Amino acid sequence: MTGGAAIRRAAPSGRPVASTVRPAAPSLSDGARPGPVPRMSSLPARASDPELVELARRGDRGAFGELLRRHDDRMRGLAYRLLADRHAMDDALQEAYVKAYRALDRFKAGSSFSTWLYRITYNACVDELRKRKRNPVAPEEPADPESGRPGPERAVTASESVRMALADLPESQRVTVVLVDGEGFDHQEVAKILGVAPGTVASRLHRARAALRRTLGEEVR
Amino acid sequence: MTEHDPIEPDVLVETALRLLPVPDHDADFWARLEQALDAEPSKPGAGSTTDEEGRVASGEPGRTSPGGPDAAGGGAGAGRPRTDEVPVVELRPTPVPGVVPAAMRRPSNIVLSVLAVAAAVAVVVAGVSLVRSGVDDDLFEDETAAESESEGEASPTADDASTLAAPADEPAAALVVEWIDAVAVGDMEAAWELLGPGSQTYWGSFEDFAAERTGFAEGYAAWRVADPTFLVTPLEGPGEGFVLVTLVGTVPQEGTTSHRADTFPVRIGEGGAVLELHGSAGVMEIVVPDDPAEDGTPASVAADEQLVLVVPDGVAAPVLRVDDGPLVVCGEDPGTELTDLEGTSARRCGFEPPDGLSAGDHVLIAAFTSPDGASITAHSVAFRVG
Repeated sequence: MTGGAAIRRAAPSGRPVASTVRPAAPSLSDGARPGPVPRMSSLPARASDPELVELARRGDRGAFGELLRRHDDRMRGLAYRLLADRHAMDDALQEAYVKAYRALDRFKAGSSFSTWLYRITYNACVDELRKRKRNPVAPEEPADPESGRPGPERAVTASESVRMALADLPESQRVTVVLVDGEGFDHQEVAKILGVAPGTVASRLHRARAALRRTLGEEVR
Repeated sequence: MTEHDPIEPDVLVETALRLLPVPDHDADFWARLEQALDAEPSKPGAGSTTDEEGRVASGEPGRTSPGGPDAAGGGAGAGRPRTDEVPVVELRPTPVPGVVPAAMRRPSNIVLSVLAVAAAVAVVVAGVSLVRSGVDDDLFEDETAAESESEGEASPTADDASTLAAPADEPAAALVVEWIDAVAVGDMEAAWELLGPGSQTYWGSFEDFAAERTGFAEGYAAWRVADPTFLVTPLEGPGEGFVLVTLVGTVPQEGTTSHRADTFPVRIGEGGAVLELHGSAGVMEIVVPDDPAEDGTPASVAADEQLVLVVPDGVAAPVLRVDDGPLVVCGEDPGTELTDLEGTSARRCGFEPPDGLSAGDHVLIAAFTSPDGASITAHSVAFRVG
């Protein structure tokens, strides 16, 4: 594979840096407005993911919607555990799903749609985390175990401990332990999703589990 | 445990994760998504520069926000073919049997005000310029003292007098300071005009950018009282040149202090200098060093440990710099290796500084551009050795 030409060190003298800052011309978007959307589906019953992907590639929005429905629970699980904020989760998934839609033509036949969508979702979550690192917002109330909505403190004591323990993990360890112990993926699958070497997955998982065990102790026994 | 062994289940951790619920989407999530997709070209992928993993190349509006189709499509829908003939199923959260049963849904939490930790670095002017604002020669503050002194302080506001000053003869750094000042005082028009085309396209419209006014002010205004070290790293590439301006310092924010390193890519062209803070050439993951801990403690790295990045296929070879050391091109310079990651569409960049890493605090700066050099991704992370 070939990458693009590398960027280089500047020559010793350096490229002359402009001495004045000139503003770039604003390019205001004219933004499209949504029109009426026909609502019907002509999907074959029990279509497989590859069949739905093929239909979606040909422009069948219903097929794409069905794919999202099938996988949304797991994407929400990943996004919420990474971002710990319902609004951030929704923002990341909006971005992920639109990007997936745009990229459908480049989805490799024979690949797992789920793995592919996980990777897109993970990338969107990383973007969202970086955005929020620079523009922090107050964390929302913990979710109620039954409804998933903010609930009374007494209802979330145990889960809050786990939440905080996860929160203490670096992002890379958190996503690894969520994918392995939360979603049941193995090294190779997680490596594909995260774009890292399987050995990296193993070391991150080891560190994440050790940290969680230290933090949680007997709490979840 | 190795990569070849099957992963043994960890019952305690699995049980812990099961304790956590995952919330459903906001009520309007699917309607917003429907609108966003409506603003897309009717044939998926047509006219898109999104790669197969959803990374959006520079120049493409990559932001999808609750703002609806403007943000999602970035105006792509203007003149787009209508999709009325295409059967479309309503994207609503119907009670489908999920892959993960409802009883198994578990959430997690992170505290969202995680700040990048910046360690201080010994500063020597060597090949690339490294200068510090202010007059204090102690480049690295005592962290404990800094934390205790400002514990409980609120985030700086526009009313706080700024002590942030760009080093002399560094126009790129001056641009960054000007931009921080603009967002700190809420002058979003000035801040917008300092952004380059990649960043402006990312936001889609001035209105969307200006809507983030409060967040920008909270996020960046802290630098105005932080007396940071400036690391200025000029780059050259196939397109216009970039200069990376990295601010390193102890930042008061949200009632605490945090060590932080922020890198601001500045595009240098014939028209002058503009800030490309938000456009991106793709997603970069810094694997080693790890992210800072929640309390801002930098990740630890062994003195002989390899620093590792993962970058997308097809982009320019990444460049790295530790502290004020030389800029190295991954895969070309001694101590670096750039390899394919099997089974992925990404490449791994490893870097071992030839002289090793000394004990103490460091900062890693890494960047890559799109193949044509039109857009850039740059990040920095602080870490600690020993």
